[in-house]
Amino acid sequence: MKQRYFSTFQLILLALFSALIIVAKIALRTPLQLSGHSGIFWMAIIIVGARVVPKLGASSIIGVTSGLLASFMGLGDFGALNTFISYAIVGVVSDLMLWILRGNTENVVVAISVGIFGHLGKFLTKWLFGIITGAPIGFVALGLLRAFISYVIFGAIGGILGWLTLKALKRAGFFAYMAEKR
Amino acid sequence: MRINRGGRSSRQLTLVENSPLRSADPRTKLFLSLAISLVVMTSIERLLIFLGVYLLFLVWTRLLSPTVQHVWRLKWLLIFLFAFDWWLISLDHAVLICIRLILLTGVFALFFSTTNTRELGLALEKLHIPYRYAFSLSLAFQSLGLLDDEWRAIREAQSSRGALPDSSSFWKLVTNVGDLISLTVPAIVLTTKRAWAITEASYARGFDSPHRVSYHTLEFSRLDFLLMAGTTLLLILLFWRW
Repeated sequence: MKQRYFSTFQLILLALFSALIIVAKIALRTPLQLSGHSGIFWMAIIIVGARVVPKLGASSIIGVTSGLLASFMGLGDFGALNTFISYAIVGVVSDLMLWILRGNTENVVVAISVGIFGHLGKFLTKWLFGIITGAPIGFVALGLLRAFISYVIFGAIGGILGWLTLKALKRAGFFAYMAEKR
Repeated sequence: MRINRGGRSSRQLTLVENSPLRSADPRTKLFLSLAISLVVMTSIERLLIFLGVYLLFLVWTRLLSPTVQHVWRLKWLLIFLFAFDWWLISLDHAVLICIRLILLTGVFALFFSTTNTRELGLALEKLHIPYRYAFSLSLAFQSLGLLDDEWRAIREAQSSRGALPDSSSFWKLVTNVGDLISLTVPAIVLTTKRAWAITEASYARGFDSPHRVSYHTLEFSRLDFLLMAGTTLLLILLFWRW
């Protein structure tokens, strides 16, 4: 049989991780009213996903799938197009970062970098949306400056949480279990 | 917001069953949505003409209500932008920006309010996306309710053990971030176990069979050709240099 890039198990796992992102986004709201705070769990799941399925494109699949799910769920305030692109770009940028750093998310620096830049991908979409609609750049920039800092911080926290989760999973023998399943 | 077993949340876009677009091919609806998104690049005069046609189209497709719901969420931003643009630039610019935002925000309601994930999966297959990817998307959607239940169970269990960190303030969240693994680790493990069970079940039912055929297939109907031809004509007219 033809060898496929992603096995069926890996694809199903990535799809369920995408669903987990949506669930975390909806069910696990913290009382914080800062923009981008949902990125903590979001980036953590992407970082774990990229380690559990260590192939280029894994994060992108999580991003695109969660984007489609979020669009169907009616998440986001700027409509389905913006929602889909925001979610998808987080996955694509995370993949790009992993490729550039040629790293493993078990390294804390790589995990934080992927967390920050991946999460900033979502911020980039907001910024692009402002430019496309022609909203006054000064006004948009003013509003987005605070959001930018917030996205960097929550992306980094998400990266740390992902790294800690991977460490805990490794200690629990999760990857030995996964090796049997592949 | 709560997701139930069927994977639906209280805020989820509801499928408008009585819309004429419900019987259209998802590929046509995707084309319509993308084409309408392009219209935002045109001038204000043409945009206003288009907005009139678009509103009539929404009334005919019975999608005015979901589109308005989408736009309603942006009401404060729209008011704020309109006021700022009018004050700082001009009334024309304020109107242009608001119409663009309204169009971009509501346009994909055409697709997502009239298509379910199964139909999206079939459309992806027709667009030559491998079946396994299309299947995983439907599967993710159907698993939302179950995963939501599991997350809540984990949260309640950890909360009763006092293992859930206090996230009422930013600093408490930052200092206790390590404690959040009490949520992520069980969730990842349970999700992986579920993924493995689904993989085994799907293989047992011949998922990877080389001669697999879909029970339902998509075919373009007269409505699809009419919608696509009409949209293309409208786009040509809007972007024509007259």
